[in-house]
Amino acid sequence: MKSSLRWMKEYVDVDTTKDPQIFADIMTVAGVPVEQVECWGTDIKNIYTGRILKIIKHPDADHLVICQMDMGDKELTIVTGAPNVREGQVVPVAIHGAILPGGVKIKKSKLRGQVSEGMLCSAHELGFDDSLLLPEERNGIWILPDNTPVGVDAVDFLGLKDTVYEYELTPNRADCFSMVGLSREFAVLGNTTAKYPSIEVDECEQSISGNVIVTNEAPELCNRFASRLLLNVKIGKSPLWMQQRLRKSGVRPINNVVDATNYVMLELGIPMHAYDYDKVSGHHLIPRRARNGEVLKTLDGVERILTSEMLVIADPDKACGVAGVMGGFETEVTGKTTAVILEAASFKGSTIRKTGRALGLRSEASARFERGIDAEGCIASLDRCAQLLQKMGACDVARGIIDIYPEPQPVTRISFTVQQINAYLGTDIPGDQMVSILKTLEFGIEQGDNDSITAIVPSWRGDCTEMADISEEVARIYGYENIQSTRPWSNISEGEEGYHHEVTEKVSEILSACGLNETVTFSFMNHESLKKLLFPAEDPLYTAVPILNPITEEFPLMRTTLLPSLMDMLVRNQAVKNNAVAAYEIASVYIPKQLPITELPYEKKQVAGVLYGLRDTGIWPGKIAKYDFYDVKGIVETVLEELGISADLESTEFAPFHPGKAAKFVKDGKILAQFGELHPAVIDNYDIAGPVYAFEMYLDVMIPYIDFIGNYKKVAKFPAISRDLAFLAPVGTANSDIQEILIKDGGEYLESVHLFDMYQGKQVPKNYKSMAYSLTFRSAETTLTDENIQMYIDSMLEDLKNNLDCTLR
Amino acid sequence: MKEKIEAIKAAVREQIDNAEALQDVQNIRVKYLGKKGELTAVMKELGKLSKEERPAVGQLVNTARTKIEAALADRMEELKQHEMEQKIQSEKIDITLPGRKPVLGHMHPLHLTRRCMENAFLKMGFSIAEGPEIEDDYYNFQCLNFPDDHPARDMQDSMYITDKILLRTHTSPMQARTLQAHNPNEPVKVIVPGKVYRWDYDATHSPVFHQMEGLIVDKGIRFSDLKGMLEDFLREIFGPETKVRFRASFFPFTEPSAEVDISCVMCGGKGCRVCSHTGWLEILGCGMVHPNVLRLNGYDPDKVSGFAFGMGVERIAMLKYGIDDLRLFYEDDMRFLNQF
Repeated sequence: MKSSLRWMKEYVDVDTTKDPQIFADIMTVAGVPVEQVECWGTDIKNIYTGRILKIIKHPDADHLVICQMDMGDKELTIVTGAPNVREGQVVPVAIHGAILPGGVKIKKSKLRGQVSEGMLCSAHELGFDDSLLLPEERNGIWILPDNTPVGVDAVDFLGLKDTVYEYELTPNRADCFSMVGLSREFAVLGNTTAKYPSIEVDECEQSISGNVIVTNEAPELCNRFASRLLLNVKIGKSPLWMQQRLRKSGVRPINNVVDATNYVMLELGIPMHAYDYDKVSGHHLIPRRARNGEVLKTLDGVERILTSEMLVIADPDKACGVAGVMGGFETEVTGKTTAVILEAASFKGSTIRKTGRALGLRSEASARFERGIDAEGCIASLDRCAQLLQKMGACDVARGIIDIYPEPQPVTRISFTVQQINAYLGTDIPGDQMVSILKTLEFGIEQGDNDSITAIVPSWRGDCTEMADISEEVARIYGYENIQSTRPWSNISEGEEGYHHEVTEKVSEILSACGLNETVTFSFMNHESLKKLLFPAEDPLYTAVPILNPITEEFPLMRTTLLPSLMDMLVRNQAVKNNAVAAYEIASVYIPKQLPITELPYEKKQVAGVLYGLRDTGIWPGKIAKYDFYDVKGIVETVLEELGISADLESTEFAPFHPGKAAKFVKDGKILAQFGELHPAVIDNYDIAGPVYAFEMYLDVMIPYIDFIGNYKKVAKFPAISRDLAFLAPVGTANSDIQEILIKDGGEYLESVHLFDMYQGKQVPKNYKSMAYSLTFRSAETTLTDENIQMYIDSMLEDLKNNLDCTLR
Repeated sequence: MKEKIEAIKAAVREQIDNAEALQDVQNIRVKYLGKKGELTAVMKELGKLSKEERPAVGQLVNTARTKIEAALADRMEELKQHEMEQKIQSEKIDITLPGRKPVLGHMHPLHLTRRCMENAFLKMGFSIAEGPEIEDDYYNFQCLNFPDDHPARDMQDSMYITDKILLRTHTSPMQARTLQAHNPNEPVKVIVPGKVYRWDYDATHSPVFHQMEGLIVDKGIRFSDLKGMLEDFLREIFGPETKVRFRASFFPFTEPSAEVDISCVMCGGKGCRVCSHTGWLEILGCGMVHPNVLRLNGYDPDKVSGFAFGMGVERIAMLKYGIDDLRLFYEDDMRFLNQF
């Protein structure tokens, strides 16, 4: 909603010497947000009205003419190229020294050898957007009405200096969608009162009854339909003041009848429509649901296909307009119209909104209906429109109104006490002040017994239904800034983070400490990504929650695994040549309970990560090193260790992984985590550089096993004995098999076993590798000697020889 | 003998002065003070002197020995010092060579911001509650006093799974879930961080983003409490000098409602591009819990009252870190993430 401050002054006292931003701030803070303040014509000057006395052709230019101008006190000679100038017209003239909007300066000059003492102006040059002008007004000088005085300041006469506020209204304040509604707010905030137009109509002898018929066939979508009949209509231009007000509100003037309906909509907030009486069959208007597939040519010339969800205003033969959205082409008021049916009606907001959306049409009218209009205001609007047209001499007004309003809007009464409101707000506002605020907002007030007050809610304030609403009215006018700041009294004094949240945070800390960056990706995926990750068609991961209206074709499903998102992330990073990508995400995956979806799916927290490229970028003193399998394994192990989880390592057949370079951690038969190198085919499918290592951890499975604190172990007092043993082992021997024997045979003193070297090459026989382990033995009670451990070492050597063909080097 | 002692003293002094290494000093000690040293020899000859001469010469020898010892010790110290200096000099390295930096990972700026916000609220006694991202229309709209035909319910604004199940459009459904999980009128004080979804995708809108909801319900909670608590929170996040402005606004689930602005973090309120020259930045929405919301979720607005608030984590992260493009959060470019 846009409103001109000059227009506003008609209803309420406004001190225009103040910075217009001050009003904007006051309104904004009180819940009527001003989105923008446009200051019109701040710098323009020296533009006057002038009458064209004589036009002669320019001697040296075909497309130019020379106009002799009567400027009231003097004459000027002005050269113009505009094709629409005629002798006798009054037009705006920028004289020598004038400044136009945008800072353009006009000087006396010569045009093709002929002196020009200024410039004749178009509306566009005076700051009006082409969209606010009729096509014929766009390409020529602004021709002013014949009765325009000559030699007066056009800046003032045309109201070019003004402040226009653009409001971004919240859905509850439909009442502010009008000059009168905004004035009411201005008044209460400025501690003054607003005066509204006095509406009177001179009706003629002829009556509407018998000449117009209205039948409401869709009362569920149209709760009031009121109409007036205008006779002896003379279509023409509306007065300049009305045109200017419309333009400043962003509405293009068209003709007197249409302009008057738009003017009343802006002034009182009720959209109206005008039908050419003679084009309405049987002069009979019928609000009804459209028929499915019914076609209506709207007044923009477009044929619209309608559905039964839409409301039309029809005559017995055809639809005459999409109710509240756009009128029909056929019944439009034209230059030939001589009688008009005016409509002021109240339609169901949601129907108008859905219709507007479906047809791709939004208008000033539909915006008001969507929020809901004050049905009680329909009659005043009809009368105001008739009054304005009558004043212009554009019509006679037939006697009476046809008003279909079977169920008038009930009056809301809200009882409250001053204490109640103060207790709710934490304030100490006196009762008189509350009453005065409500009265200025035109609430009726009844003082009851025991301090109780009853507020009678005005019809345009459908948003107010109970005490909390009254407290908001009081608070916003009293001023939120005047309410003290207190701290709540509460039974609850201590906040709890929650275990699941704590675990998630801990995992994130561990992974960040491991050198991985945290990522945040969208929660969506598609089946194609799962295929690229080599998941077989029967994999349950394909059973995903589908979105009815996905944001893009690329994301039709809620993800069942985080890997596709991380792969896309890796693709983006490789595309910008990032050569070290170590990243993880902790987020939910969404597992349907069944398809089609009938209840909420499972949401399970998972952790996934990828490693690609350089672990050490080789910046001195580091040495260039690439991520490998043991990095991803170490990361997963670290997370498990830090969470106090011990689990068994097993090989895995997780589809996206290289079958020979992948593993999982399992506990009680449940998979806690899987990790490995991505299958070369995955690398190919994504057309990225490899190798890439990835992991998935299933937090929901891990949580029952997490033991943050663990049991404290005493720090050893006695020295340890270390033994380094290097074995020759057949190439295929698994480290875990050797370790298993070392641990089994290690006896009570074995504290730890670590592989510290692995070698395959010239120094060892073919098909063998050297595996070197460091063993630590320690007793809690005494200092060990070699004899204490020799027997264990002996049995290790024997078992290794017998079971794995491993010999000491 | 006196002459001999003097001669030794002179010789020692000269040799000490010429000594260039610790070993030289050691050698001098042996040569004069050792078992077969020259001064030791003089000492041994004392017996040959007369009783009368012996004490005086003896004293001379002792004094000479003490002096030589001291001189040797001094020289020794000097040379040690010198050697240390030389060693240090020779060990000098190029301190401008790069340091060996451990590879640290970085948490996502949205996570860091969320944590900051959570910590502020935890201190104020709010507990963290998390709810489902795929939500029933019932919790997402119905229980929050959204009328049936509210625009947010249009397909164009929300992502739907079925006509009754959708991706939650805000973290507010947890208001309803939390109240319903409590006995009627029991006090509640929670924050709800989490992902939310809207059908909006352009330079300034992401279909997936993050919100934090807050809800407190108890006996006698007032609008002024809402003001005080949110002022405390915003000053904790944006600094104690931050100005906070409450504007009347509208949300279906609060009444009275307010939109909260803070003085622009870039210009401090003078007006700049970031705040569209208003000096203010819109930061969160809040209000007293609408009586209908209390009723719809089993609470009695005549017995308890409360307030609720909700804010975007992205918005706060952008202001905190001066990030000017929302899309950076979800592109996950390592060059971006490495900065946090």
